[in-house]
Amino acid sequence: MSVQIVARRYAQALLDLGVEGGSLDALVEQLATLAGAWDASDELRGALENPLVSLEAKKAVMAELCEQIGASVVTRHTAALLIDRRRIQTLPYVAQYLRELADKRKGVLRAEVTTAAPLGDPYYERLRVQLEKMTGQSVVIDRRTDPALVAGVVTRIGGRVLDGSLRTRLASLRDALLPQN
Amino acid sequence: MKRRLTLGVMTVITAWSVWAVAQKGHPLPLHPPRPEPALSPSPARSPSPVLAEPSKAEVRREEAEEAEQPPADINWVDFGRDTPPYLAMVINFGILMAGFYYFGKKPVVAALKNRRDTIAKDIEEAQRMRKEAEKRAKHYQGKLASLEREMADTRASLLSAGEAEKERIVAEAEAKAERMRKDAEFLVQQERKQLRFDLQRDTVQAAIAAAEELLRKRVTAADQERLAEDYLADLARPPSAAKSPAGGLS
Repeated sequence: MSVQIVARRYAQALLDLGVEGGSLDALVEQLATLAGAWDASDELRGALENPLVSLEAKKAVMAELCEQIGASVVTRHTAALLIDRRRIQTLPYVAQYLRELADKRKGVLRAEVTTAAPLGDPYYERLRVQLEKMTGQSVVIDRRTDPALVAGVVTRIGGRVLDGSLRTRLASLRDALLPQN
Repeated sequence: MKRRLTLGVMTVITAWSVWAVAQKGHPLPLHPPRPEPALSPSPARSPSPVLAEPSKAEVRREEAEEAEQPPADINWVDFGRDTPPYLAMVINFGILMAGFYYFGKKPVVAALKNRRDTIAKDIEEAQRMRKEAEKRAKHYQGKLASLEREMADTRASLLSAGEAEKERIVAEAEAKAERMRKDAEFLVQQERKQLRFDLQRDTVQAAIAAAEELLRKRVTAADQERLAEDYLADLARPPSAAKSPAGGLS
């Protein structure tokens, strides 16, 4: 079965649990934190995906991590269940789908704003207002930084990409200058 | 079939008769029989009563005596004598001839006719062959007469064909050379075009890379903020007026 399909089912179940418990936002944030740790740490992935490491050891590692981020019981049990079912590699997808489902439930449109250098909060606030004007929906901004953009801003929202980066401008200039073969 | 069988029987009988006559010691004696020579009582020759062998002189003498004797009369009708009557033999011979004629006429005539037809056919075939031979001889004589002219014509035609073949080969070679030249020119043009394209591409990419590197080094926080403000301003413009969601760079 596809990882995405499995992750969607876990995310839907977690959404129901979060709504029932009234802790959906915390659940979303805690799973996002765990997914960030999963993406950032090769050692963590190596330990949790290694079949030679026992399930108890993996659970202990995950419990330690949940302890450090102050995860709720639902988050801990979710992580332990993923380890028991040998589905821990779906954790990033579960976090992503859970965020999407939560945003959809709240009527929020999530925008990923990437800049070459960090900008001030007032700028993001004005950008959020502008994006809400454009989409007619409540917008939440996820901030990212990517020096490869050289300068400028790239916004991904609702399947659209609003690219104002200097890197893209240079690429357009290069395409315009290249002869047609 | 019956006729042939009859003829066969008659032939066999005739042959048997001839054989029988031959067994009697023909020629038939025309003289009456002579007395047997007396036994020689001479004890000098042989003491036993054995028939004495006639000497040569005796034989000559007997032959001379026979020659001196007149021929005997022909026995025409007397069946009581040693020789059969001549008339009976003639009648017998006539009957035999009549039988041969009666039974052998048709086959003999047919055989003769067949033989005649065969000979006529052979003659016709021989004449035809002779005519063909004469015709062939005339043909070859004519050929011999025109051999020189044919040889000249053949030589001329061969020379003409060789000349045409040479021209064809030369034309083909020239066409092939022309094609090769055009192909080579086309390849050179393509290579030149590709090289020009590669050169321009490398130049553009190097220029863009240099510009990017330069921008990375020179872009400041103020430039970042200004570009971000321009981006925001572009988003605020109506879609028809907005050129692109990006700002400028100082």
